[in-house]
Amino acid sequence: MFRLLAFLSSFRNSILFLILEGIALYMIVNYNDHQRHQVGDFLMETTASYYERRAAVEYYFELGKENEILKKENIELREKLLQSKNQLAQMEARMGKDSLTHVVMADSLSERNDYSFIPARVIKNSTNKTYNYIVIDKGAVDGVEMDMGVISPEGVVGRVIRVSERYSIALSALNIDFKLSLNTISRDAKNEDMNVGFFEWRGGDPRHAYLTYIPETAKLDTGYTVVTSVNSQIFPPGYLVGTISRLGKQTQDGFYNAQMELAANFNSLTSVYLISSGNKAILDSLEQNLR
Amino acid sequence: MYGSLRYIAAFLLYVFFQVTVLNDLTLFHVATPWVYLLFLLTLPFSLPIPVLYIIAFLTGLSVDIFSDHAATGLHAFSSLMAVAARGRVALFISTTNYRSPDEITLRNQTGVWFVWYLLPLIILHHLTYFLLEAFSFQFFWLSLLKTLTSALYTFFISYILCYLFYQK
Repeated sequence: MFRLLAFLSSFRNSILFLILEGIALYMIVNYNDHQRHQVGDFLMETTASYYERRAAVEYYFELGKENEILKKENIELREKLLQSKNQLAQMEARMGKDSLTHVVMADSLSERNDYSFIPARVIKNSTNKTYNYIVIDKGAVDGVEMDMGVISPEGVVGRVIRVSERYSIALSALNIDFKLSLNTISRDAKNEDMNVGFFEWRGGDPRHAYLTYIPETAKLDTGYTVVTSVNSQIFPPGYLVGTISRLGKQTQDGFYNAQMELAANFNSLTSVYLISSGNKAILDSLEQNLR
Repeated sequence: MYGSLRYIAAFLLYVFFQVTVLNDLTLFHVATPWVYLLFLLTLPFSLPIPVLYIIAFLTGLSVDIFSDHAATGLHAFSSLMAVAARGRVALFISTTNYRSPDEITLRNQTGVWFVWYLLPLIILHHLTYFLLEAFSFQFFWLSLLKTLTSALYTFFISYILCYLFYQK
């Protein structure tokens, strides 16, 4: 025993050096997102498959609640389908057999159908950090790509930032790096009342986020719905984000903020959809051509 | 007692100037002077190695914590690397035959000695820092460019300070 100690003590400087470097390396990898993302795909696949196994067990406990949410979504979708059918019928009746309007309508409709959805399951999620991430059980094999939008039946959830073969990681909306341009719509949904602003989450409370840079000319009140912007490239325009719960004071630069209650419940997030937009590919290639 | 107070004052001064002034003196978005390293390199060689390591770690960590653009742990890691190598480098470049680094005193060294002592250690520190910051070899040439320019920058300022305060 004494010999062992003497042997170890002859290396004590090197041991101390290694320990301290280990601590520093631990801090570098754990406290910094960039370095963490660089730690290979292999690590991501293995940890994600562990999360998946764990989530598979937890999933059964959430099934009841999950069913309720999906049922509600189904009903809403049916209502919307009926509504749009009625609208279409009304329009056709009003327009008669005007061929030109038919063409225009068909054009605008085909543009909107460009979004496709990939259903996926959340296998790891956190809400208590400043930088929260969501691990999703679909990867490149399933057609997931970088920068896809992530939505839950209730509202916007995040954006895909890393894709491996069978899993992907999304930046949660509960991450102070998450940016999104937004529109607000008044309660009676008149288009004239549409305002613009930016999404910002400031850490802490997982139920609320902020709508920032609202121009001072904007008319806004509590209860207005906040939806994704018409300019958004990754989310379908007009998808629910939250509702305004409190108006902030006007800041000196002519903008003001508002607090919103998030529509998605991040604490029990299980089923999500990944959105791929056909427009985005076109826009991206356009932008690259311009450069 | 007086001596240790002097080093504590030096520590505070170096870290303070590093995080308030020098961190913002980045040239062309590439070269940043990390002169706080000079504090570690000019600590007396008679200091016990474990104490030296712990001081280096804490100094690096303080710089990490107070500079907002740096990732936590980067300066701690690279400072330790530089400090671990400094004894060997000092022995290697000295023309006098010392048996161990303990016998070296900075006061007796010439300007040339300081050049050969500072330059490799600064480069080692900066190279470690930038490679870890990129955390891959994908940007190796950019890291190398940053290393060399920053090292020259750091060396330039450090050498002036050495000339003013440490040389005989």
